[in-house]
Amino acid sequence: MMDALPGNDRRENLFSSEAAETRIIDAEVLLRKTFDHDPRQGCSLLFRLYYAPLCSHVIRFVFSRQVAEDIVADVFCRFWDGRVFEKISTSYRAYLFKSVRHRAYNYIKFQLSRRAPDEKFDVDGNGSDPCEILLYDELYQLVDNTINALPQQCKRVFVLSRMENKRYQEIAAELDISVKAIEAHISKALRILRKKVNGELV
Amino acid sequence: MREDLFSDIIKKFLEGNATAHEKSMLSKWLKEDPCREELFYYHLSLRETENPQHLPDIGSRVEEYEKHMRGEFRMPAPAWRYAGDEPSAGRRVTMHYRWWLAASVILFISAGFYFLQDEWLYKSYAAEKGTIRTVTLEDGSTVTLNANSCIRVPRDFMGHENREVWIKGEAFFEVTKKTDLMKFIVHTDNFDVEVLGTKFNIQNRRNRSKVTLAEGKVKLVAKDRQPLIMKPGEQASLSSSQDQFEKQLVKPQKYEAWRNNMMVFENTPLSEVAQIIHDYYGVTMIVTDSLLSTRQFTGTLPNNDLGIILLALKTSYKINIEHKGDRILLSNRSSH
Repeated sequence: MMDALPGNDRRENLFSSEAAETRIIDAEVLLRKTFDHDPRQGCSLLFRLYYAPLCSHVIRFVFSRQVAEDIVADVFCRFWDGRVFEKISTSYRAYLFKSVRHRAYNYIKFQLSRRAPDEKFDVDGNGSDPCEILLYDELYQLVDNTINALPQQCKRVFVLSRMENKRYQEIAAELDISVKAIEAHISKALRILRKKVNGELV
Repeated sequence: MREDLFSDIIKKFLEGNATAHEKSMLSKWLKEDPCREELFYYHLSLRETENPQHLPDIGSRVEEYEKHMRGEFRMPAPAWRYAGDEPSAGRRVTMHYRWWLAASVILFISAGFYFLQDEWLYKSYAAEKGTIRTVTLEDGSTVTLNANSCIRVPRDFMGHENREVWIKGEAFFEVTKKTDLMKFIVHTDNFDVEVLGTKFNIQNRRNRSKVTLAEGKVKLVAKDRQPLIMKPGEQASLSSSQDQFEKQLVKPQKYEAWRNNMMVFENTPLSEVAQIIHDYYGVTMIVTDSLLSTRQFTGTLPNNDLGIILLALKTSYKINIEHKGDRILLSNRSSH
């Protein structure tokens, strides 16, 4: 479905219509020129532009800064190693967001359902298309709502552990409860998440 | 026209506010033509840039990535991918954070000593060139300092009749209301801003002071001039040579964009673009051609990397950019 149009034509379509007239600097135009000139410089510019928003997006799914940064960095590494920039037919922005969303989706699938991760999408980011775009967003909204609905203390422990990447001992000291209690809170949070989210996973 | 409609729906959808009907409309519209998903990702990216959930340390990660591309360093594959369910803690990256933390603590302490020497009665908060900093004052008000800006407050901030702040540069204020109606006063070079509780942006650079009001009500008081009461959406400015306030209606969001690390230009002449970059990064920009300096620029750029901004100007507008020491010369490409 993605190959319906030859790559270059399609990319032209995206920008030529209004951009040429109104002189809007869109980061994508700049990126395309930089990639034509020097792919390494292009990748580095791409990283500077999108690393932060991508991490910010992934965190909504995976609820961990460390995991989010790892997922995004890995997508960028494969983008360079596999010279993906030569093959893509969409904008860089769409490709990157699509890839990290896929990856984040698989991460929660693996985390919550213990099913083996599905790696088919790695080749071009457009690969296996289990769900349409919007389903991912409904998923993170569900994750977010579920976490927000957890009992106060349970939520606090979960967020400190996942988002702030704190060790159990640190959290125990901060909230003045035992490490055992922390473990109980975390497994309770995961149990609730599993129950809620599992049904939604394809 | 239709794009506008779907842009609005996408925005609502991303905030979790779209109705079931809107969702199915959007889903159908996106499926009809694969190109349309570009609009979706455009808004998604914009939203994540404007409301970041997390601000990673890009500088050190970009360095790692560049090393990775040169083959000098392999970025580690995520540990969780094949193994256990917890990401391994205490990785090298975490060490990076620690060093940065230690460095910033040292910087903070030494900055503290510097100001102590200088002024016993006042505390200063400054944002360096190219960085933004948020400060919470004793009364709970927050001040977001734009790059190359600073504010000064009395050490016993709450111990006076009014809460008083002096500003150089640019900052966005969110002032908390006090039950005893204790006024909050911001002193600029040209006038004082009297506040009860509100949100506004102040720019105090190059002898000109400018206030943009987002919410609430403020009163501007200047010596020998008629005071001015502002309403939301208004912008007022005054320089030492003017004998009354200059007032206009603006979009306050445009003047707050810097808080999200965005630089917004709307038909802005290059001379002004150069001035803004100077304010922000402290580099001197020289436009060599008077015709070029009137050329207008429109667009939104990320504002945390001078390299990107210069590259954007260079490639999109076909101008030459030359570094000469700490000065940057902009010239017409055709003239070379």
